[in-house]
Amino acid sequence: MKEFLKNNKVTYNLMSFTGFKSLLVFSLLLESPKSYLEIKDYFEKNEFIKESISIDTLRVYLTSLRMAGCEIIRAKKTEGSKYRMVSHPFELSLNADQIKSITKVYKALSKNIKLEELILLDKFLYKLAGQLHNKDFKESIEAVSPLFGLDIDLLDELLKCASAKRQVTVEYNSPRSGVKPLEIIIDKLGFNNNKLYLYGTGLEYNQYTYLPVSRINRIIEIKLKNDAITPPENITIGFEVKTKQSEFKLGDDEKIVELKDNSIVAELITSNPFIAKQRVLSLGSACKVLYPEEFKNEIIETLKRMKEGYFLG
Amino acid sequence: MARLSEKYNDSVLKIFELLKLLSNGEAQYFDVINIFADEVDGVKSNSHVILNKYLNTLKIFGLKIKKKKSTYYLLNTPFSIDLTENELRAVLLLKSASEILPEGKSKESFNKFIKELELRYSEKTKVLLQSISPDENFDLSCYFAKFKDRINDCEKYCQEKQKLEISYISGDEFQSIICSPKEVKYQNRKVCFSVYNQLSRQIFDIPIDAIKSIRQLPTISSAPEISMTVVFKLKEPLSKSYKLKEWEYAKGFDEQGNLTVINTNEDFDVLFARLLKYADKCVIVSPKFLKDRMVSIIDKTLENYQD
Repeated sequence: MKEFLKNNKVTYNLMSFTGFKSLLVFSLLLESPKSYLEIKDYFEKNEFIKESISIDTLRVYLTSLRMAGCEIIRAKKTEGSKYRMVSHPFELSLNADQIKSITKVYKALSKNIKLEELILLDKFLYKLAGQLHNKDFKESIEAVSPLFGLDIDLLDELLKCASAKRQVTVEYNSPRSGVKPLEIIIDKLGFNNNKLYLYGTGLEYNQYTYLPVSRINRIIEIKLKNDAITPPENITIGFEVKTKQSEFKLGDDEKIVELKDNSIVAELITSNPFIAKQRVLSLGSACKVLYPEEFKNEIIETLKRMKEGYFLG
Repeated sequence: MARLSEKYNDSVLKIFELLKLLSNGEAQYFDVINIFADEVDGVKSNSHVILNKYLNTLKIFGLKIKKKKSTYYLLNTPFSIDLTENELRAVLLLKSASEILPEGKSKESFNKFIKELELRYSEKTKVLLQSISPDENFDLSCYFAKFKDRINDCEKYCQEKQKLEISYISGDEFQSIICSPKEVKYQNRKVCFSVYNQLSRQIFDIPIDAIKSIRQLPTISSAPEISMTVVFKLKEPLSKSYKLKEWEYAKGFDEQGNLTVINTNEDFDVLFARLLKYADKCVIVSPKFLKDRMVSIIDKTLENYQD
């Protein structure tokens, strides 16, 4: 023990001088690896200590810190012989129950929040898993993350482009034609069946389209100014759904045009009949296309082909 | 492993033992004083004096310690974490959704994690936290609160695993099933109680707000839970671009390039809506009754156009 000058912050003027010095060594090593000379220099300049520390005393402190649970190693002479704190008992750690509960909260959140929020949540949790060297935690999040396998930096870029409706060329890995550049004026990014898609007007066919983000390798170019293009030709599809208004979830490009007793008449405006076709078919027998005739016939033909698929083997 | 010098200092061990105890966020006086009980030849009467010296040491070092009744609280730590604004927002997001956890061990361990994390915030992080206004955070608690009681009940049923008789509204019809609870699912701001029906070997995702009543039965399902496996075939080009869901696996391509997919644990209504979207690029292979149901849906849809 050593008597100290009065300090307004404390009730007693006595403290454990050794304990204080060991805390200083601990915090110095937490900051960064330090050599004996650096530690000695710090001790000599510290307002409370103002005295040197011998290498033997430092070794005793380091041994005691190791006994307290710190892992401290000393680098080779060629690397400056610095002492480095590898781990310490106060590090944030996660037990199996915590991993389970965080994953559960994450899983629920991931299906209810915006993509921007999901990205920052994923970034934070992966950073945390990395800092904690916790492989189980990382794997647990990966197993439920809708963004697993996607390049988060690329997503960030695509989101920025979407908010400014920018024209970009992406390198797209097409299942049919292999890797190729695709030009698109990005509208939005969104999930469909747990899969993330990039939506926008494709310039190849001047049609509203969507691409699975997992198939986009990189952004090749972002145009400073979008090309002046003729807006894609839209078709308006009218369809009736046997359901209640409260149970019907309108799509982004849809509006209700008539409410009947047991059904809803809605309109979908799109330049891509394929998107409309998927939407209408997913509603099953509750849905009937009213117009246009051409699209209605296309649905009927598709349904007939679907039925044939079950009888032709 | 590095060789340890034989010489060590007991004061160092004591101060770190004290710090370890306090770094849980709070520590009881009894546990704290026990560290110093045998400090001076077992004379316990001096323990509180020694404890004060060590507490002073921590305070001079810069740690803030508060004592309330017989509990010590550590308000900051020497091992701080710097978080960016986005990282803080992520923590707020997690905190706001913690309401979904049922009361009990799971919620306690989650809250402990948040507490331990917040305890480690650096001064810079604490200042940053103040600058994030409350209305900017992602507070979902109102949404979850709407269903909180029912969610908690369902979580409890999942833990207890007893069979349930659930009455709910589907479409306009009143339905009732005997089932085993599985989990509470959250999707697109909709909460569903996922249950397994032994009779149909089917998973049902029942929207929480559609549930009219749940009656817990005195039995636990004794038969093994084998969900109905649905096998479907995908044709080209979909077969090449299809991304398997986490509850699916592929059985490989046939000579025509068709991909066979094995699916389990998906609510049939959700699965049907999905497979219908694939149009003539998808055919259900088995089980037969689902294959027949799909054909029936196609027939009924075609009937819509026979006027």
